[in-house]
Amino acid sequence: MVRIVVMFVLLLPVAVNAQVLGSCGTTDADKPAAETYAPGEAPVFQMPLPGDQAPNFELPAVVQDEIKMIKLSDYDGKWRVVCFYPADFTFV
Amino acid sequence: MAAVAAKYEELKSLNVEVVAISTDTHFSHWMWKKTSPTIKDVDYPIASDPSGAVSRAYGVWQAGKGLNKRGRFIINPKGMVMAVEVLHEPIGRNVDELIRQIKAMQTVAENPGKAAPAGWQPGDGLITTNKEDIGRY
Repeated sequence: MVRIVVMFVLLLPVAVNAQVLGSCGTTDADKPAAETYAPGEAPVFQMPLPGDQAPNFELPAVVQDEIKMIKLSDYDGKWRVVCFYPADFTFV
Repeated sequence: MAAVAAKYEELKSLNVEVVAISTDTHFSHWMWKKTSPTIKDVDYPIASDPSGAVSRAYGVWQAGKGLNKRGRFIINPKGMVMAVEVLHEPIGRNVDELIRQIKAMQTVAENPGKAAPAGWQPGDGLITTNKEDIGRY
């Protein structure tokens, strides 16, 4: 039943706000409630440095031929490379 | 982006997942992937952070532009940040160096107490870090 509900939620249009979900690698019980921010109101955090837990997040993404919500923690147990870049249709 | 895509099979074979993030919408990502000959082969997730919330959390968001710096974070299987590289535009990244660093981290993770010395390449030996080794390298 829970699985069906989760699937249904995933199938909803992905026009939801980006969410920062707390530290990656923590259990659900450790995670604070998801925070959302209005544009322009979000605090600027210090860049996570080597040795810090990576901030977990949930964002809409293009994954091959799909558009779906992904979390960094979806890939727990794997090494991950998170690459930020300025904009689509740029050169580098 | 395309340079990482070209090495994505090798990265996957190393148990690595790649996530790219910009402040464009996922609609923009979709059309970029549909129309760009270099981006169409990108098989890893391209995520959309138009509010900048996640980009702020990683400290790469540029308030004046609403665009991200080119920041790259290597994160281990337990969610710990292992390496950070931030390049000022317009300099591209080096995927071979990314792979070298991940191989060094994985090799050290499998060999507790050892270290990868400067210039370590896959296949090179690790060094020991006992007190007899102090001053040796």
